[in-house]
Order: sequence, then structure tokens, then C-alpha cells
Amino acid sequence: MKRNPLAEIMLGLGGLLTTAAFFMAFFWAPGTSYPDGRVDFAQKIFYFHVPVAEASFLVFIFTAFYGIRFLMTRERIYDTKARIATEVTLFFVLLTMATGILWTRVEWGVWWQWEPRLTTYFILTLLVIAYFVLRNSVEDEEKRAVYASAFGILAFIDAPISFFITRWLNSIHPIVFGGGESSGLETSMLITFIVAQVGMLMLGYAFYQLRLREEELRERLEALKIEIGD
Amino acid sequence: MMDLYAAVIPQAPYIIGAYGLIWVGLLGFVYMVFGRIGRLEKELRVLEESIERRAKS
Repeated sequence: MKRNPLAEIMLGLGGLLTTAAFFMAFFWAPGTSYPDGRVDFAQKIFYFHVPVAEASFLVFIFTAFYGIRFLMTRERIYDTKARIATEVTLFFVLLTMATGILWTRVEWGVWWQWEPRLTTYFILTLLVIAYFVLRNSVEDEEKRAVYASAFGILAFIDAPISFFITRWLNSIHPIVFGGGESSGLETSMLITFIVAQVGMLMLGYAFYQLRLREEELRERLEALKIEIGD
Repeated sequence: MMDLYAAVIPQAPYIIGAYGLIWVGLLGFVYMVFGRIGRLEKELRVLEESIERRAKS
């Protein structure tokens, strides 16, 4: 069973970049201060909260992509790839929710607010969880793959909605990029964010490939056990 | 300086919590997947060797 050197390189580089971003966030990028002298230290959560959220959206694309590929070809490998992409998506979704809730508590004084971004992302979380509930509720392998693929494609529709909703509707959720004159970051903050974002995407790729390798090993093991059994 | 401390101290537990969750999550994921891959590789080696021995005998 071949190892994937690219995944290991991505894991190492992703680890280095995210670690660097952590130090940059606290020792280089300035904190946000308001005209009234108030210092917003909780803004530091942004450097990792946004990258994990973006990673969740991007990895979820692969759920839809491999879902379509499966429905077109009916090859089992695409169903496996879609399932693994959804697992990695769930991992990033949970991190996004957890860090987001902590940020909301500091900035808005509440643990949760039913505003457009949070609501659509909460729906996304439920859809990703429902994907696995659906998989576990169908016994027939072929039907399970078909239903899960169709569900994954439909569930993905919520990702761009959640991403763009703050630009379409009135929302108290901050719009950091492309949100008018008040949006944008100063250079050191932007560089820190980019380092964290690139690192997180590398980790996302590595996680996906590592899980895929695990599945391949498990399938090979099952095949050998059947061979011995015969 | 007092203003800075007054802002940082109440917010610190949430920031530490957020970063702690992220690091524990990322490291935990890598640790668990590598652990499972290691176990599967070991099991696979044992099985392949046993098949080889069977074929020879």
C-alpha cells in the first residue's frame, strides 16, 4: 500500500504555517482598538476561526463533487471519497462552531444569536450531521451510496448561501473582505490571516488524504481476511 | 496599561478556550488517524506474512 508523500508534506507545512500564524497573531498583528480606547483582544480568534470556516466550505465542495461523480459512474471509490470529505468537513464545522460561539460570547455578550450567518451555518452543521445519520440508516450499500450522494449534493447548496448571506441580508456578523469601506485588514493582520488560511487548507488536504489512506488499508485488510477465510 | 489589562483579562478565557480547542482538535485528529493507520499496517503485514507462509507450505 503506497504512502502519499504529498499528504505528509502538506501536513508538515500546514502544521508549520498554522503554528507561525498563531505566533504572528499574538506577537506581530496588532489588536483592534476603538476610538473610545476600548481594546478588542477577542479579535485574535478571527485568525483561526475564519480559516477553519473557509476550510469547511472548501472541503464540502468535494462531498458534492464526488457525489456527482458517483451518481455518474456508480464507482464505489467516489462514494468513499465523498464520505471522507464530509467527515473532514464535519471536523472543521465543529471547530468553526466552537470558536464562533466563544467569539460571539465576548463580542456580542451572548452565546448565540439567530442572525443570517449563524443560522445558515447552523443549518449546514445539521445537514453535515444528517449526512451520517442517513448513511447509518440505510443498510443496502448501493442505495446508501446513492442517497448519500444525492443528499451531499443538496446539502452543499447551503455552503455558498451561508458564505454570501452576510452580503445579501442585514447581518451583525462582521464582513472582513468586500464589505464596504469599513471592511478590510491592515497589512500585518492580512498576512497573518493568509498564513493561517493557507496552513489550514494544507491541513485539510492532508487530513483528507490520511483518512483516505486509512480507508484503503481497511479495505485491503478486509479483502485479505476474506481471502484467508476462503 | 490598566485599560489593556481590563480588556484582556475578561476576554482571555474565551480566547484561550478557542485556541485550545483548535490545537487539541488538530493534534487529536492527526494522532488518532496515524494511530489507526499504524495498527492497520501492522495487522496487514501479519496477514500478508501468514498468507505467504501458507503459500510456501
